[in-house]
Amino acid sequence: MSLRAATTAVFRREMQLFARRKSDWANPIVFFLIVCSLFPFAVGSESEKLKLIGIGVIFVGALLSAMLSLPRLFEEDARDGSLELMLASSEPLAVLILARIAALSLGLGVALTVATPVFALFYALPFDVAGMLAVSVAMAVPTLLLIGAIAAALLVSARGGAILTAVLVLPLTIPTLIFGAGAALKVLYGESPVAELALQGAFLLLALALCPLAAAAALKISTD
Amino acid sequence: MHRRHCVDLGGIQGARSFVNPCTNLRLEALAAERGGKTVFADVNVNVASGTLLRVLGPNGAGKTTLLRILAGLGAASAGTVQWHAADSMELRPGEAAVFAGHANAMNDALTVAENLSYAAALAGLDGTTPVVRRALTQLGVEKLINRRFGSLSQGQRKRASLARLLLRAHPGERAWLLDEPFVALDTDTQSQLASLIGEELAAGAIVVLTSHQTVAINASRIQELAL
Repeated sequence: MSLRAATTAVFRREMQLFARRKSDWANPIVFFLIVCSLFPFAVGSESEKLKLIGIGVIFVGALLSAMLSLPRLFEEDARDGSLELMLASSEPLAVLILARIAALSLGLGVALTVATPVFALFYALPFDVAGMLAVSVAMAVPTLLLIGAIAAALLVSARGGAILTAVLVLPLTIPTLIFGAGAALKVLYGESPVAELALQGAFLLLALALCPLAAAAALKISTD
Repeated sequence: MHRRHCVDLGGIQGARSFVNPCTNLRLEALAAERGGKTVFADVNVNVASGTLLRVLGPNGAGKTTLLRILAGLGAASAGTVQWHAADSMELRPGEAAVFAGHANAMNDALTVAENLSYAAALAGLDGTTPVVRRALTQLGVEKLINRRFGSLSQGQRKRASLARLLLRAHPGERAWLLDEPFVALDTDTQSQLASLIGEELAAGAIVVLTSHQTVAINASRIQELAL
């Protein structure tokens, strides 16, 4: 019962923060917009070329902007001391971390998923491809946040943690990147994206099972 | 086994969910390291319910380290920390004690009430509005309940964050681990906090305190631990 109260509180607090500080979701969206809008200028307006690179650019842009939110997971709380509330709680830390990632994924995932089909217009992508891209971004954001939580936990008290987090996280997101962008490419070529989506889903489930535990262990080590 | 020290609350409680406040803290051969260097070793203390334990020592003696270990935030390099309820059941640190460290543990963007109910939920305490309001009233800052924490002055912040200690259904429900609680408080608030500590002790709580200030605390049992 009190585990439910604790996880609800963690989730609700994250949502309150999203509502209070617009920059939390506005910054990643603006960054995403900048990345997506610069490429067409650099590459030129040939629509065939744009279609091919568009999928990759949008997907990478979404991943990078999701990564901007990683420091929010623990760093800010470590600074003001509220991380200690979570660490001192007698409830399992991994579950609390999962609640927090779930809230962040929801807030950020919805924002990025909604933006994706809009930005797909820059690249003259057909609606079905844009829709598939939105679906795979929606699956990729939680995966990235789950993996990123481990790095964020490890580097919670390190200086220059943001760039190190990127170094640690980005290689691990490559499978998600391949299958996520692959699913949209399949739709572009008129083939079935089921295999790619299934693999991406499998990757998400694997991260869901392992990452909170690893992040909890990492957080305990780095704050001890 | 330390039942004779307990304050008898038999008449008051009755509720099943009530956690017996009479806890007992036992440290055996406790040692801690920081950065590979031993900060203290072989600390043995047995603290009964209703006792004020003053942790003394110069800067760097490991007072904060000790408190963090007691709160379950840090690991000891050797030895054991055991919190026991009155019925000798072993408690996890998070169930037995509340820790108030140097940091306020409050988020600037949220209101005082939101911060406090979050803290209460994680500690397994009561964060409902009446309890939060009562806690803030006890510290004389009930007007701040819906203010954003970031908009408060330093003194107000400190007081609002100390309200976290008072979020319990009954006085004495949790042990208090206070790391320099009197720092940044004006003299009025210092004596207010001292009397709150006194009340908590009288209700049977253990209070572990590190402080360089000499604030008089009304306690029937005081133990000192020099690190």
